[in-house]
Amino acid sequence: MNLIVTTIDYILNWSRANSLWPFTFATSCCGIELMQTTASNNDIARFGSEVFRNSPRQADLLICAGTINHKMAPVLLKLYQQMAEPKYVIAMGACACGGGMFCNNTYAVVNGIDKIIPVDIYLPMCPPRPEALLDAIRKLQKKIKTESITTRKEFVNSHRSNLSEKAEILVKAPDLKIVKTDGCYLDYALEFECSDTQPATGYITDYESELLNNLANLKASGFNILTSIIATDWKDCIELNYRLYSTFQSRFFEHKIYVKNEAESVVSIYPSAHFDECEIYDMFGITFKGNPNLKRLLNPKSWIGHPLKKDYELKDERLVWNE
Amino acid sequence: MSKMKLNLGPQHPSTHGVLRLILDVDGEKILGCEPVIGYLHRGMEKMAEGMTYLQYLPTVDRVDYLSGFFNSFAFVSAVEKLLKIEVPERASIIRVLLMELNRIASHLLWLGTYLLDLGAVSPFFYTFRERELILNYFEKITGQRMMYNYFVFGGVRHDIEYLDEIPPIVKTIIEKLEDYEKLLTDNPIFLSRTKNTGVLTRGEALAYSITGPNLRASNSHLDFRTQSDLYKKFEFKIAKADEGDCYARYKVRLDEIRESAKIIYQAIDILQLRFGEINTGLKPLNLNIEAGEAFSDVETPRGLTTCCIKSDGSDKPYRVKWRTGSFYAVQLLPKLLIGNTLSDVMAIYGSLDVMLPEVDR
Repeated sequence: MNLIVTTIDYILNWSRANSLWPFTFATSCCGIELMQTTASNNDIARFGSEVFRNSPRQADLLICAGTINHKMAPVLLKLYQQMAEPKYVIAMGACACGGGMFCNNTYAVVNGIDKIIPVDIYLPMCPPRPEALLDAIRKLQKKIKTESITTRKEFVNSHRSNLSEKAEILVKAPDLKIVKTDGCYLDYALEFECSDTQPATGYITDYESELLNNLANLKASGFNILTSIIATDWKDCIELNYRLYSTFQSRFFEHKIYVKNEAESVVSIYPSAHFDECEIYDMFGITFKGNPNLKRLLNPKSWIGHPLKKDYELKDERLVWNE
Repeated sequence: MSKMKLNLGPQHPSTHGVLRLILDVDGEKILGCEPVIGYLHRGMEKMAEGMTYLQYLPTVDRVDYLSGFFNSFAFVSAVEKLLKIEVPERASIIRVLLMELNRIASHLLWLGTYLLDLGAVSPFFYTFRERELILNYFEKITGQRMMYNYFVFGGVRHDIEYLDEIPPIVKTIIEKLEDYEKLLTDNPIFLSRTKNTGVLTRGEALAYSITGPNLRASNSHLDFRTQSDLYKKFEFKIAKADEGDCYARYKVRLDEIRESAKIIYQAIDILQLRFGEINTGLKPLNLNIEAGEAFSDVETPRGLTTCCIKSDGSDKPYRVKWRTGSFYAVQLLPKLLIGNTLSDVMAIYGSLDVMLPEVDR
């Protein structure tokens, strides 16, 4: 019996190891080094992995090149599940291995993809050199060659992130008891709350109501670009700084207003303000009256709280796996 | 053919990152487009509030990893404004030299990947071969290929070396650029994919806050380098085109590589003749930063990048805001895509040179 298994193993492993077809999955910086690895100087074809597949169904190897955040994590899981067995994962870069530079002081990043999917090879560094990626592929090939069809399943099953039907995911976020799972990674099926605190303490300047007039006049006098709207939380009020630029006078102009949780939308004057306003709504919770399509821009739709507010609490561990 | 919704991304090989577009299509024709961003949101603005200025410095290279020097410069010069310190002349010329080399590397990567999206595979290998020359040089002087962390408050980390290696690199690239042009500029397939596709007028570009090569391809002279004190010593032309289509954006970027090469030669001439301090010897561990705010505006390969720092006098920034060019280019997409066919999506999107880390931060 063993003789048959080892013979099959030998043939299968030989063919699997020498034609690893990677899946094009690059989220950030490491993706550029991944591209460099496929380019002429570090020809990845020497190791049988030049056939990059754009569909997960045809790929064997998921090189997770880059940071995975809470919005991307369900996508990563879904793509992994769509890949056919046998499938292997290389966590490329410090972010994918354990959060890297973004493991502290931020709310958005998943600290390591091994919380979501099983990882075969960890490749730290920020970002790894192409040579290092080639080395990781060689190491993976060695690993595949020592595998047996009977043990591969155990490796995947033993991983803590294996999402069997009973696995539950808890999401910890501020003001939130929570949870919601259905075998899939996260579903923050929760409403977010806008806290209403005391009214402002006299910071609101008189000309807030004249914002639209002022900006329209400024635009007429040559300030034709709204470069950005810069919001700052000063604890008792929120400052909105409309930074304009005039191509005629070659200078910037700043128009500041102080608001509590509502402001006028300037999309009708400067169309570019739409994304700015959505971002401020997402990060500070300010509603812009008159914006036709105000929505959360950077965080997932059902995110709780407004991260750039000073009273937002950073939780180190957002995902807790209930085993 | 009936109308349907088509989801493109967030994992799509041609978005060079994680952009998601929800398209309304009728057959091949695009009726509506909604960009969904945030799949690479890393909370870099919140991070700054929990870190000291020195701790935050290495992370700013990641705001846009293809032009690390520019972001580094934006942050460092905003802090210098808060500290009210002058940068030695040699240091600022080293900065210009490295930033322009970085611009060339960034545009080369854009050219390769853009053509890859259009279906031409070989230019990708050519441009990456040339880009590698610049990266190898950066690695020699900074120790890293993409995340340099070379600029410090008040100058640069150490003096520049191997200056004589730069002219051959730039010369090779300019020569190869002519090869690319032979391959592309009159190529009928390339022309039919890009000419009169995604036309952006000057008025629209300004209304949507588009800057950089995308704006200059629409008959505008706006280049923030001309207003910066850094570039006053250098002579260069502003690359510009009138048509505002994808082909014009291609021409502008290629011309910019040539202009950057001119600046690099001038910078090397100055650096070889004049020596001096390369930083102010400031101890970055205990910076005495007064309360206040500072802006620094940099012309990056993707438009205007502004770093705004607000300080409350403590050792950590109170608020850091990144204004980047790509953020607004994504917003423009529905405007350009609607009415075109599905095959034009990547031709138009690619020509805007959007980098997703810069969009999501």
